[in-house]
Parts: sequence; structure tokens; C-alpha cells
Amino acid sequence: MTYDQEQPQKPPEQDKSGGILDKIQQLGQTNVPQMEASNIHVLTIIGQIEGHMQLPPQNKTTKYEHVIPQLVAAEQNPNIEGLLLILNTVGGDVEAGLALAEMVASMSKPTVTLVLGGGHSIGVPIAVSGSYSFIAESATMTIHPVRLTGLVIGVPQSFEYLDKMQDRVVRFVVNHSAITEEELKDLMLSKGNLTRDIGTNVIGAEAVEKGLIKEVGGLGQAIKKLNELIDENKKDEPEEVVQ
Amino acid sequence: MILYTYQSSHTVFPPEEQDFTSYEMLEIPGGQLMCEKNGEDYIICRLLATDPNMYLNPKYTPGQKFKP
Repeated sequence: MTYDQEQPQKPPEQDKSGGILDKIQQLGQTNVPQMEASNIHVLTIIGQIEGHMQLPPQNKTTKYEHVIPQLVAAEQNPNIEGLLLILNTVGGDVEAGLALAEMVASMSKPTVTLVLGGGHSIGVPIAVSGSYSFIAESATMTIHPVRLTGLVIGVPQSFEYLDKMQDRVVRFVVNHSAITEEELKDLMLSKGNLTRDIGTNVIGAEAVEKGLIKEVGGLGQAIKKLNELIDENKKDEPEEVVQ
Repeated sequence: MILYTYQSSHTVFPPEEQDFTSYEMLEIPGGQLMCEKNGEDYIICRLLATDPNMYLNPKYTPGQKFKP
């Protein structure tokens, strides 16, 4: 029998074997063991922080319209006792970033932030907004003045607006971390650290030294600290009366 | 072509409308899925959820097909 003669019979066989194959695949699927619901929720702030302008989809972005409802849900859900924020961001929209930072800072539940890789520009206020902050040893944070891309209409007005915007960022960071306003402005406006640009790039331990971040650490330390904060938070709460 | 301009690349080459429409956000219990539309199917690009357990669910693994 030649190969060609066999051909017409093949389709039904394929169907049959396809069905068996599906069954084998289904049987072979591993089931992830069901874990208990986690009392810690995680929020990742990655890529660009997207504001009013929608960036093309090939950009990795954190959209505030996604994050804000998640923060509200985390605040409201009684099963969620703490929130871990993981940052690896290049910055982005100032207003969106500040909005997120304010939301995190005003949460009643303990929040721990962890900067991994980079927490640049508007990532800085978000990194300091938590109850406690960590930075990985190799992570960096670029502190530089606020600027605008695109066409600028009305230069003096724009400058004043930008200046005020920068003040808002500076004020937030100063209020939520141990750094002083002078120190932060020094870092922001210093020359020679970034080639042909003003600003400073602080790495891991340096950010802690400057008072921006509380501790150098990673995931383990961050979760441990969050659990400690959750326990403290529980103690402060008045115990429910059992009738 | 070599461009020498003060304008940002976004202004010179604006993103195409189609780039935006091929992605869709789908609601799932406990979060959202960013999916790329591929004909009738959806392919998961990213899971947006705060529950870490959801990331262990093989149903929501990026790269997989998803039926809403």
C-alpha cells in the first residue's frame, strides 16, 4: 500500500486521535494547590505611569484608572490586611503619579513599598508614600526637575505651572520621608551627576542614606515588615465585643 | 531617512489607531485581563489584579487563549 492511498482515511483518524490528545492533555494538567486567601495584596507599579494621554500599547504602562479602583478595593475589603507595592517605573505623568501616591499615603491599612530596578522621577513620591519603604541594593532612583514634552504655548505661564507642580512633588516627598527640602532640591538640581542634565541618580543604600527610603532590602524583608505592621495595626484596633 | 528635529518621535510618527483597538480589557472576578484580540480569540497579555494567588492560576497565565 502506498502512502497516497492511505491519505483519504486519515482525517477521521486525526479527529479521533485529536480527541484523545485533548483528553490526555486535560488529564495531564497539573492543579495548583489551593492556597488560603492571602491577607496581603500586591500592586505592581511598572513601566510608565500613564495619565491623561494614552500611550501606544507596546509601552508597558501603569494606568491610574486601573490602579485607583484596586486601591479602593484593597482599602474596603476586610480580608485584605496589608498592601505591598512593587515599583519598577521610569516615571510618567506627574498628576497621575501624585494621585496614586496620595491614595496610598491615605490608606488606613499598612502599606510597604519596594523599589526594584528603578523608581525614577514620579516613582519617587510613590516609593515614599507607604507606611514603610524598601529599596533593593541594586535599584536606582533618579531625582530630577519636572519637565514637559511636546509643544509649549505661553512660556512664562508654563514655567510657573511647572514650578508649582514641582513644588507639589517636593512637598509630598518631604512630608512622607526623612529627607529635608534643601537636600531634595540639591539632589534635584545638582549638575554633573547625569550627563548634560541636572539631577541625581541615587542607588540602593544611597537612597537610604539621604533619608528618602527607610531600608535596603528585598521581598523577604518587605513581607516580614508588612506582617509586623499588620500585627501592630491589629493591636491598635479595638477588639470586637463578643456577646 | 535620518530625522533631526526637536519634536518627539510621537509627534512625527503618531501611533496608529489599530494599535489601540487590537487590545481589550476584559473583566474577570477579582481583576482585569489585558488581552490581545486575535480574530475571535483573545490572548492574555497581562493580568491586573492585586491578589497574588490569582497569578498562580493557570487560567490567567499570559500567552494563553482566553474565552470571556
